Amino acid sequence: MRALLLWISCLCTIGNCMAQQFEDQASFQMDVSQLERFHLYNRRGAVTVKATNGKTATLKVKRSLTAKSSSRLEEIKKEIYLDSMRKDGHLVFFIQHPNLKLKFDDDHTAGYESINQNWWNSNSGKDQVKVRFTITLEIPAQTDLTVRNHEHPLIIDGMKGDLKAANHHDGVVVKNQGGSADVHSHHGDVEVFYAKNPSRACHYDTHHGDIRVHYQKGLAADASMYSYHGSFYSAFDWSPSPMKVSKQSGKGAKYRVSSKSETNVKISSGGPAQSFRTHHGDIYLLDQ
Amino acid sequence: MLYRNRLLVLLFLLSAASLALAQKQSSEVFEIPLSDPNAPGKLRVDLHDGSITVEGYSGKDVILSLVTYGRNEGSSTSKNGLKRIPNVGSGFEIVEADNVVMVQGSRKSRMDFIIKVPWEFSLYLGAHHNGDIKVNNVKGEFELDSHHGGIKLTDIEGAVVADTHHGAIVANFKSIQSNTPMAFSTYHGDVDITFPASTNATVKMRSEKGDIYTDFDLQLNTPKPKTVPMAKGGSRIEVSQWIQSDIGSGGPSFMFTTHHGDVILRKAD
Repeated sequence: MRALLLWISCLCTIGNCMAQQFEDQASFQMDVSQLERFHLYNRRGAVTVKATNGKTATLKVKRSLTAKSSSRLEEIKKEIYLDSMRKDGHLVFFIQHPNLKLKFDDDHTAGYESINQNWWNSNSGKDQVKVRFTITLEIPAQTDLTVRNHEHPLIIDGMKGDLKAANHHDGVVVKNQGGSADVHSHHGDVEVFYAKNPSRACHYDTHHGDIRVHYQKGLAADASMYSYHGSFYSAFDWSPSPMKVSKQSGKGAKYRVSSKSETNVKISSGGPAQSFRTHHGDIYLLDQ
Repeated sequence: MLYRNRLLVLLFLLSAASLALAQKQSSEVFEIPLSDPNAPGKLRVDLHDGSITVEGYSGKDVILSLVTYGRNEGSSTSKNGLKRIPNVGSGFEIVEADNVVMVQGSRKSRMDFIIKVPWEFSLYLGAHHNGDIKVNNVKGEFELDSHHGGIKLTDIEGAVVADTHHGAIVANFKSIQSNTPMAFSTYHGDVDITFPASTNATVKMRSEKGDIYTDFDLQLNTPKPKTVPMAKGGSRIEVSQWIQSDIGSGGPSFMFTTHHGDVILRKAD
């Protein structure tokens, strides 16, 4: 048994030695003062956003590629890279990949579509490819920003515009947020720290994690919360809001009323809508 | 017996604690007009967690009172100095189309429905947890399906198919719908049904562990034991566990069955 394990270990070591790795770095600078919105769509690798003053954004990217052979590595160096495009005043950075296509819709929302099942890391015997883009973005605080990741952390600090942030396998942390926020994860926690309390509607959701939003003192908001398995906690005094019932007829029905499963409460005298949705986690409204 | 008593006390304490924690949170009333108030109507309720009470009245609308409860999240009202907000959101839907009122309850937390219907109305009522079903003073065809709760019908007219598992079925008929079969089945409770004295039916009754009582005059026609030849030789004697009888002059089939309870068939005064 020991001999077998040693043999397997040797094989793994040989396999790792044979893998070809490549890393490079690039930096982009651009004036974003006239943009409607800045978009960044990563797939795998940490993304860190830091707000700055001025008009110029700086995006630094470290590309890490691993392939089974040097010839394959040379191929994917040409095929897989950070690309950009402009549409209707929107500047979009995204990953070019032979198995991925970014679909940017007319309403300026976007997402990757996979072209085949080996859409990111290809781990089949013939084509062992690993890809990672580690990105830091320094961008003027007032910029409206959409930033999405799929795997590895996403951290955003100090933005004051409208923020849409999403991750899938990891959580999202938003620090010193000065504007409105729409923050989404699936397998991770959502945590937002407001530098000033939001004056517009905000939304936070995940599926497998907790949601923790840290507000400044004196919060006034209408909160709507849903968790199938979790509980809700607040550092602020709250009072229950009436059940929201929608009434409509049509589709053969003369009378139809329905209510969704959210719990609605008022913080202080009420104010901008704050909606929270998770399935397996708890929801926390916290002060700082 | 001592063990059984202790178990019963424990069950009682657990259910009392559960009731105390699942506190009533709010109620809301919905008035549902029918497409054709002069035509017969039907109510269908599907509820996963909660009870259903239906009462006939002289009005034309269906009036639904909805009672929602907080989820059982324990008794603490705080955590690390934070105030707990009870998770009371309850999704539901009420739809009326062609005189059929459909009510879909939440699967997330308990809600009770208390519903007034025009006196002549048919009912399909389905409940599961905390699921007592009660109907009072309604005439129609009733299909009633509970699981953890009992079914209680008072001063009803018409025909009933009622099924539960953990509760009793108690019904008191003012009149029955002629030539319509009925069935009442449970597992852990009594089946206690009161029919008008003039009822004509063919009844089939069975209780595995309990007894069967009636004050109707029975004319038993329970099948006699049958000898069935076996394929590999020999024979098997089949003994019916059903008591079968006509009451009155006989008529449609009424079936009553339980496992741990009694079957009680009463004749109204």
